[in-house]
Amino acid sequence: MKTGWTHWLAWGVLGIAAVLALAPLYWMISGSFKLQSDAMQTPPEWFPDHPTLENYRNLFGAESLWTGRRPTLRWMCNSLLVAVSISMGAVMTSALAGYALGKQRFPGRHLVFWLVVATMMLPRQVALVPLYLLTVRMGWMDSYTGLIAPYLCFPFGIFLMRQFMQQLPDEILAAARIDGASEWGVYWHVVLPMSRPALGAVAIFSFMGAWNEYLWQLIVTNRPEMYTLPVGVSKLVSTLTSFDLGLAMAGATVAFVPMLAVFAMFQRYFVKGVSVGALKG
Amino acid sequence: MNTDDGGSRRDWTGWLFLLPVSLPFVMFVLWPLLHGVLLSFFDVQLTETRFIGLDNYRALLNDESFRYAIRNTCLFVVLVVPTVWLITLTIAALVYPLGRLAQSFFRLAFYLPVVAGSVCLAMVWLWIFNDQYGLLNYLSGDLFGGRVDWLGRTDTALPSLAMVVISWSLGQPVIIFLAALAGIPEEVYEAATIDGAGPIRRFWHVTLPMLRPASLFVVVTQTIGVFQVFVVVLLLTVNGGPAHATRTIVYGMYETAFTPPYNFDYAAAQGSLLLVVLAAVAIVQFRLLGRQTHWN
Amino acid sequence: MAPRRGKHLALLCLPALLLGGCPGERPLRDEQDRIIIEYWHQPMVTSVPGLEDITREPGDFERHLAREFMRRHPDVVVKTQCLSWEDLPRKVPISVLGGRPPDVLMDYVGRTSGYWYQGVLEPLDEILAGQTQDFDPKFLEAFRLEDADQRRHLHAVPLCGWVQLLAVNRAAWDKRGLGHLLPTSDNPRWTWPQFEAALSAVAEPGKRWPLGMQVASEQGDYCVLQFFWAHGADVYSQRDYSRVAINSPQGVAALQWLVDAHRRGWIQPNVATAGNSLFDMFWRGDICCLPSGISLRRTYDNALREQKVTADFDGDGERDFDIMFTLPPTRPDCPIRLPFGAAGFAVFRQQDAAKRRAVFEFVRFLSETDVVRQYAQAANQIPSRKSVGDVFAEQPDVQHVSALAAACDRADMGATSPHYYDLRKRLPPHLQFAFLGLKTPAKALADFEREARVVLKTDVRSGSR
Repeated sequence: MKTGWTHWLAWGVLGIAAVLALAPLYWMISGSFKLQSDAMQTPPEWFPDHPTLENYRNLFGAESLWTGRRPTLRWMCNSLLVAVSISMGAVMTSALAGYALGKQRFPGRHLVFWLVVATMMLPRQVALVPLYLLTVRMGWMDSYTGLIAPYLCFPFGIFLMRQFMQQLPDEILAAARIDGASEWGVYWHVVLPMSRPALGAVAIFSFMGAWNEYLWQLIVTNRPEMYTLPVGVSKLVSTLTSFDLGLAMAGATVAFVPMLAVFAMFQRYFVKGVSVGALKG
Repeated sequence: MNTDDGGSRRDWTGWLFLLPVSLPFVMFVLWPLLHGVLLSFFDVQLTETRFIGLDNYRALLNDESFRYAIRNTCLFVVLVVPTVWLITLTIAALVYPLGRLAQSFFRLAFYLPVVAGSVCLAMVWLWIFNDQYGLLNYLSGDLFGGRVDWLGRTDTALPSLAMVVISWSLGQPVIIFLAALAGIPEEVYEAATIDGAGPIRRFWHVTLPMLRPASLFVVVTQTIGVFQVFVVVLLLTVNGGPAHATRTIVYGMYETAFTPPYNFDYAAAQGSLLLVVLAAVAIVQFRLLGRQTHWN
Repeated sequence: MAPRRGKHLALLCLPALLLGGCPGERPLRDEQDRIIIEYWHQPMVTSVPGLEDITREPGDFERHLAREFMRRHPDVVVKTQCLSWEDLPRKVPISVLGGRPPDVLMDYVGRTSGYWYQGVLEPLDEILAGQTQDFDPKFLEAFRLEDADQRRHLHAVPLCGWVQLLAVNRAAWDKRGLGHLLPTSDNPRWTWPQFEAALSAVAEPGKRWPLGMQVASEQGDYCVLQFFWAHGADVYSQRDYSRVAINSPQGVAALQWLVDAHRRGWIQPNVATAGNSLFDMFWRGDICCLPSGISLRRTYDNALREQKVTADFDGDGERDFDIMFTLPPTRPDCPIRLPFGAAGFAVFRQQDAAKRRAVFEFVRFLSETDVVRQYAQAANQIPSRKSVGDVFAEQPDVQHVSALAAACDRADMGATSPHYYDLRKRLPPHLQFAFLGLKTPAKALADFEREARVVLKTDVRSGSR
């Protein structure tokens, strides 16, 4: 490990970069504790001189938490419900498909795998309008089904699981079969437990993807009660009309916290997942 | 049992496992992609749909806003992707020698904006860019001749948005590069040192080439991601910016399909062109940077 | 191999099979065999005169009307739904796409005309049979649209409408002793030199801009177009919706005047980007006049309550605000023409003859004189029926200008053109180019005309070009 001036220079540069990256987040959180008039002051207050919880009270207080124009708590629950459902669905479907493509030999498996890779690389926005029309015709507009259904299948997840499962040692599977396990038994009792890291990565990625899926959630929801957290919070800002800065920052902070919590709990899986995806593929 | 080796089975059991997945896959992933392209050749109205061939594409060619959408999307890619690659590579190279703890710390620091998500960041940058009381104007003072309407001027709007996009694009590549650096065996460095290479030489001739797969992954994923920029355009500028300055392809699709008069087929045509462009870009990038991934 | 291929095919066909099963149509009658009528409407009125305590929220009045109608016709049940302004352009097309449109829709003519051109509305001429003389011919003229055979039908029954005037904050001039530059309420008309002189007198570079305007989005089109009509330019000429006429020499002159006014500091700087709300600038006194309808007064009351009105022109710490409505300033050789927004009742295509009769009866009820009067009074708008009388009789400050406005010619914004929303969205960017100095007004308007030509070539109904 080198010490000396290059070492300190590296720390310095990195420190500045980190500060720059984190500054907007700090600004967002500190802004949420400022009143509108304080937030608009120049020179800006680096630390709120008169910190207040008024914005949060506004965000969670005014009307009902569950219905009405700004049901913030409901937005959080919507986001959680949608993201967790999609995540579970993605894990289940990806594991099944990944196992089939990775360990089962059947005619057509190469074609299917290339289909999966192709759909993974192609921009999802092409499918936006057809999915929307499908959602309308099925009567799923403005419903949880509409928010969840189109994302149950996660091609990137299938890809990850396939890559991972392919590397599982065949001997263990053969041993299980010799012991009399059915195909399903092999899958459930042998393969899945061994695939935990990859399953975790798929769960995390699909959860994050679902949480951040702004465009789809925007066009599928109409009623404020059905908004997910990012959609609802984004309605607090506007480019055409003036808006309450403090309230908007409070909303943004509230949208940040759940993801922060998830990240804090599953940090290991995040990092692992990113590496698995990037380097094993 | 039809098996050739111990583990993999050769018969149709595989299809049984695929069955539950194939329905959502075809219905929600595969068919919509095809349908999205198909739609562009029709005119979709409330009561009927009729075939119009290439009319939508002809209209697109003459559409000034679409030309700007392509230009802006390409500008985004040119501004964001090389910058992100360079910055994250530098960060990873600087952090790696500092040890495990430093790696964890900086990895976290740069990943937090990713965790916050584009909506939160867009909202706070809307405040930072404000021409009256925004932080950026305060900090830059008279550097640019007083207060600048960052989001309102045609020459600064897009670079401003690019800055926001960069801020949340740093997290993932840093993790990838750090992991890739960890994968380079010590012997390679030792060999280079024995050959008399200094630290810079080592980096250029040893580290960089060994980081090629990671670089490829970063560049490809960043490009695909930047092509899909939408949230910043929607939340920070009005209708694609003054004089189409920030309109991107995906934003144009959204505006065409989901604001009156809901021109679904025209948006589908834009999407098909996006598909073609992205496919071409992916192919070019693969060729240029070499196919070093194992698809098996 | 055959069984396997069959399985593949079955899998591929499944989505199609599933798509075939859509949610069913709406039931025609309820359990008591009463005809069900779905009535969707704008959140247009609250506090209807005479019914204030039961009409506090948007939708209350419509529920009251529904009860009244059901009392008269026990074999019908009317279900009302109040759609928000964001929902109206989204939910209705979605419902048509999904096969469950409402039966009656009360909405802005720009949207109902769109549904007419898509062929999903019933012609309503027979509803007004025998009563057409009571309706203002200007309303009827605007609401009569062509069908596929180029015959005109009444696509919706007009309810009431508003006109776009110029709202002037007199205080900006009065407090500086410049009140004599403005028109009086007895004669709320401008001459063009008078208008320019008034603007020039209160302009303060960097601080105050007399005229407010916004071309950042299509929401501001009424404001901008007012000045096009003032120069004698037209968006469409003589209701000929096959081409736009805005790039005429008069149109170019109008845009040139606007761009020059912007450069001279008469229009606020962020006209092309609208970084801040136009209304907020008006309340603060940064802008002194604004094209608007009489409904601005209600907005002003709300702003007062939210303590946003802080205009102070003489620096005495007291709020200076005095709204006066005038007719739009117009060039000497051009007639005063006012854009006109209206709402009406539209009926979606009916399959059942008995239900159709019931729905038409309901619309006939909704367009009775008393109902129209209540709507017009609550919304402060011009009624479509002459028998309603003068809605502004009790508001002396706007009565005179409203009477004058009602007598003026109508300017055609194209709300009843088949491609209204498409072209409305495409115009602002071209104007932005002109305001930002990136294109000359002539080029900007010529580019818009070229773009519009491609759009207008499509027949909305048949999709043919």
